[in-house]
Amino acid sequence: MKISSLRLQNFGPYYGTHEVDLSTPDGAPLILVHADNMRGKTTLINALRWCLYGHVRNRTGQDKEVYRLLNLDAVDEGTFALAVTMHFEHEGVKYELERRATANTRPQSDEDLKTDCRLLKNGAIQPAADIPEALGGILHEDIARFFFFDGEMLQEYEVLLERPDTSTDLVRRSIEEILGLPALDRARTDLSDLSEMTQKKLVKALGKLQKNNKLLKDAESTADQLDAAERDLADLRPLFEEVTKSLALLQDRRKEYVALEKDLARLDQLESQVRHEELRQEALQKEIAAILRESWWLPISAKARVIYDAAQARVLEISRHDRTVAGLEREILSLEETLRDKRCTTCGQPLPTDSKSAAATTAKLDALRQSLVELGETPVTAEADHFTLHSLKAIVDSGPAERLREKERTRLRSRIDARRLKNECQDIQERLRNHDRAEIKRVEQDYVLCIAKYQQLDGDIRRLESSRETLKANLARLRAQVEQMPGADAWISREAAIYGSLQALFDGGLERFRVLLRNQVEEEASEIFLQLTTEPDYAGLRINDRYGLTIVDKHGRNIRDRSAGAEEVVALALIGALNRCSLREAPVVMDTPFGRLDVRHSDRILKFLATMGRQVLLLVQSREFNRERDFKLIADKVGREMTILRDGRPTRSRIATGYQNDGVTS
Amino acid sequence: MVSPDSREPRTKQHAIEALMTLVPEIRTQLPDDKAQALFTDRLVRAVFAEAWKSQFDDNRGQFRREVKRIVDEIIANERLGEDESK
Repeated sequence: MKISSLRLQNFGPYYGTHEVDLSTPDGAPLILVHADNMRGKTTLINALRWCLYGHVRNRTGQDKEVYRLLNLDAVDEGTFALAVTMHFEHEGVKYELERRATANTRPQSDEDLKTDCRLLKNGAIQPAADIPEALGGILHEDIARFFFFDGEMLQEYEVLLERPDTSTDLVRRSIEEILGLPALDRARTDLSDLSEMTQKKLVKALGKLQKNNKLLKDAESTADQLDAAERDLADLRPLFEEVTKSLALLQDRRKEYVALEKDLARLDQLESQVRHEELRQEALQKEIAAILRESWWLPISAKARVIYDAAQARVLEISRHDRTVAGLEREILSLEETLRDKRCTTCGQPLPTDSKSAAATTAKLDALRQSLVELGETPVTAEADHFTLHSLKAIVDSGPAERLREKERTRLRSRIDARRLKNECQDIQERLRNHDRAEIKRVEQDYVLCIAKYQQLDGDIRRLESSRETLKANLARLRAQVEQMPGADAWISREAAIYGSLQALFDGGLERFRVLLRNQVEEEASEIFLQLTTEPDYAGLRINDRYGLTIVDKHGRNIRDRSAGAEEVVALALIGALNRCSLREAPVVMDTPFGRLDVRHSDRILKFLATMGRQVLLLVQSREFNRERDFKLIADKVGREMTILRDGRPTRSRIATGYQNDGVTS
Repeated sequence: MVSPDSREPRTKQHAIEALMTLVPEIRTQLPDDKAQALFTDRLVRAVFAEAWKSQFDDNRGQFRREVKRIVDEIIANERLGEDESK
C-alpha cells in the first residue's frame, strides 16, 4: 500500500478543504512533515485511521468521539460535515477511499452523525458491505498499530509486552497477525470442521445399514453433545473477547485514575467524617438545648450564686458567733464557780487562797465578760438565710453548668475539626476539578462488574472446554469402533483420518511456526537495535514468548535496567522487525519519533527510518528535528517535505509545501 | 536484513518448514497404508498454500471448499487406481 494523496475537509484544525500530495519518487520514500505543537500532526494520523477504519483511538485505546473532530469554525458557520479521502495503490490496483460524516444540526454526540464510506477500485465503486473486508485485506486494523504510530507510545509497547494481562494478549495477537500466524491457526479450525463432517458422514452411511445399532447411536449422540458444546463455546467466545477488550480499556482508564482514586477515596472518607462531625454538632446542639430547657435558671445562676454565697456567709457567721458566745459563757461560768468554790473545776484541787490569785481570776473573768459584751447580741435569726440557701441550692449547682460548658467545648472542637476536614476536601476537590468524579466512579464500578463477568465467562469457557475434550475423547473411541464395523466405507474412514491428520499437523505446526517467527523477529530486531544503539557493549536483543525484548550484552547477560531512551530504541527495533517480517506492506507513519532520544540516537534512528519502507511519513517538531543540522543526514531519501502552519486562527491549520520557518521557505 | 520483496517467502518458508517437519511422524499415525499413501507432502503443501492464501480472508468457506476439493481429488485418484488394479 502506498498513499498518493489525502484530502481533508473540516477535519480537526483543517478548516475547509486541504489537498495533501503524498506521492514520492522511487528511492526517496521519506515525507517530512514539520509542525510545532498543537498544529495538527496527530490529526493527520487520525485522519488516515478514521478514513480506513471509521474510528480514531487515543493512546489508551479508547475511541475518540468523531463529532469532536469537526472543525470548530465550520461548526460555528453551520457546516456540520467532515470528510477524509485517500488515494492509494496496493498490489498494482488504484484505490480511492472516502469517509464522510454529516449531521443536520450541530452534533452533540456521534449519534447525531451519519457516516458514509465509499471505495473505488480502479475507478469501479465497491459494494458498501464489502469495504471493511477489502480494507482488512490491504491493511488489517489489528496490524495497523505497527504502521501508524506515535513515537511517544514506543515505550508503551515494551511495557505492554512485559505486562502479563489482557492488553498484552491483544498486542501479542496483533503481532502474530502481522506475522501470518492466522494462516495456520484458522486452517486448523477449518480442518477440524472438515474432519468432523466426514466422521458424521461415515456414521450416517452406516446408520442407514444398521438402524438400531447402539454403537452408532452412541456415536451420534456424543457428536450431538459435542456440537452443542462447540456451539455454546462459539456463543461465549465473542462475549469473552468483548469483555476482554472492555476490561483492557477499563484497566487503562483505571491507570489514569489511580492517583485520582486515592484522592477520591480520601475525599469519600473526609466527606463521611464531615458528615459525622455535623451530626455530632447537631446532637450536641440538642443536648445543649435540653440542658438549657431543664436548667432555665442557668442565665441567672451567677446572680443567684452571689445571693447564695452571701446567705451562706451569713449563716456561717451566725454559727461562728454562736460558738464563740457559747465558749465564752462556758469559761465565765467555770471561773465564777472557781471563785465561789475556791477549787479548780477541772481537777477539783483547792486553789491558792492568797488575794493575788483571786484578783487574777477576777480580772480574767472581767475580761471574758467584756469580750462577751463586745460580741454583742446574737443576730436575730438565720432562718431567712437558710431558706435562701435551700431555695437557691439547685440553681447554683455547678453540675448542669459544667455539663453545658463541656458540651459547648466539644461542639467547638467538632466545628474546628469539621472546618479542617472541609479545607482538606476543598484541596482535593481542586485537584479533581478537571475530572468528572461520577465518571471515575462509573469506571471503577464498570471495572468491578467487568472483572466479575470476565471471571464468570472464563470459568464457563474452561468448563465447556474440559467437557468438550472429554466428549472428543469419547467420540474418537466410539468412531474408532465404528470404523471397524462391518459395512464401514474404508475410504470415508480414510478421508476422515486425512482431515484429522491435517488438523493435528496444523496444531503442532502452529507452535513450531510461532517459535520460528519469534526467532526471526529476534534476529531482525537485534540487527536493527545494533544499528540504532550507541552502546558498544550491547550484542543484541533476546525475545520472550510475549515478544518482549531484553537487551543482551557481549557476555550474554541480560541488561535489566534500561533508560527511557533505551526503551524507545528497543521498541523501535521491535516495530522495525515486525515491519520487516510483516506480510503486508504499508506506509510507516510516525508522529514525534525522537521524543526521549539524545542527538546521537536521533541521528541513527533518522537514517534507519528513512529505510523502513516504500513510504515513510515522519511528523516532526522543531525541538526533535533541527532542519539545519538533521536534514543533510537524510536529504537523499526525502521525497517530499511540508509544513503545517497556523492559518490565522488557533482553530485553523494549513499544510504548506516545503519547509517553512518564520515565513522562510526552503 | 530482509528486503521488503523477500519478506513473504521467508515467513512463508518458516510456516511450511514448521509443518513439513511434523509430516513423517503424523503419517505413521494414520490407520492403514492406503491412508498413509494419501497423506503426501504434495497434499500438505497444497493445503498450506490455500491456508496461506486465505489468512486475511474472513470468508472461511473458500478455504474449506478448496481443501475438500484437494482431498476429494486425491482420494478419487487413489480409488481409481485401486479399481483399475482389480
